[in-house]
Amino acid sequence: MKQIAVWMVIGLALAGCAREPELVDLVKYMVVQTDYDTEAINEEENIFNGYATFVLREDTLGFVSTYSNDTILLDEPGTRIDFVNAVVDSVAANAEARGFERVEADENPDFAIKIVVLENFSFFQTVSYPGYYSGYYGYYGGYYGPIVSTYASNFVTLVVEVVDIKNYAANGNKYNVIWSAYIGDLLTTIDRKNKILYAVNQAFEQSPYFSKE
Amino acid sequence: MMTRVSIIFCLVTASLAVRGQEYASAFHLGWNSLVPLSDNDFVSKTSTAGVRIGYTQFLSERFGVGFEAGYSTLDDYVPLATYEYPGGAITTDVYNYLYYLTLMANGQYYFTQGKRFIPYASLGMGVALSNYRIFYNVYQEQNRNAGFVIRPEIGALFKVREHSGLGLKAAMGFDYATNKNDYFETKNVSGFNIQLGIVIINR
Repeated sequence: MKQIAVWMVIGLALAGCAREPELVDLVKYMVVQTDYDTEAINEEENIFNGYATFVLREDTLGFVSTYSNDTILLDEPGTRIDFVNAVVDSVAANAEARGFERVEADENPDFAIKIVVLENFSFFQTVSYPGYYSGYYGYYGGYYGPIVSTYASNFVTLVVEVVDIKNYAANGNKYNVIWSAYIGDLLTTIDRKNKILYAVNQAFEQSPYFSKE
Repeated sequence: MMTRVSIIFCLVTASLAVRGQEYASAFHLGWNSLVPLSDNDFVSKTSTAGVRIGYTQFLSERFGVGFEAGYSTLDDYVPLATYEYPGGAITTDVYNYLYYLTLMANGQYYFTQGKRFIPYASLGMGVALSNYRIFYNVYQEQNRNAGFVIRPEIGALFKVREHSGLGLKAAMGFDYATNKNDYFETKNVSGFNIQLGIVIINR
């Protein structure tokens, strides 16, 4: 009995020391990561300077999920999915503020902005430690169908991508992704809509090269 | 090399044993506070989440040998910031955690085995296992490694009553562990520690 009590005390002491941060503190801010194609944006050139117009779907976000066969998200007021139009509008406003004009798909846009939500998707993640290491966590996709590498997770991530249409032929009939923003986690956050909008603005804020000038 | 040093250390300590000790063994369990002195970029806050557990075999009135396990969690918070790197940037706040486990053999020198107050100095050596972990939003990364640790320490045992086996233990020491972590760019683990706990002394 005495021994059991001793081991219980030891167990409790060890458990008390093996702490982790509280989830409510962790999800205070969303992670915003942006990547760009260093061949298209570097000290000598910036592909954005040669663009004038872009296309962006209205009212819908792409959707990739292991739970659902849906391929798009539409606003469903009163549910957790109330951010679709706001995100589309915010992305468009940020791109326009950088000097680009939004046009229809049949008006020969220079680039497309694709917004996709990944739910419970095996997500490739090699995120480096900020300030210590470099790297990215990413998802690979063409203009239409995304190809996502795998990593066990149940995160929900918003991905915004800029796809180069202007140089499609020059790139060997390929749509190159030249800028990506990853925003997460959408699932666990509190005040989801406002935090997503803040994160979208932050994605542009930390990408000063995303500009016509 | 470190293994050889540890073995020699134990043998030398054991060889100093002489007869006539008042106590046979002791078991201690205590709270440990650790003030990190190295790699303060990763964790700089004093840890109060630590525990120590150990056993001592008295070899003589002056000497004892034993083993001890210690576990501490150090943490720090890095407020929201944007970090740029070639090809991109990331904005997040970060919680850095270092889980630090030590398993070591030690030798003690008792200045006096008084009726209630038993001051000592000790030197411990062993292995330190460290788990560097960062949390940002729901994402996390970790990197584990092991190293050699050395811990000089001074302290005292206070018996509650002269003929009681129950006592209190207070000690302070310095940890130096060779745990280098390339992933998080840390060079070693070192820190000043303070231990308070209970001890059960057997005659």
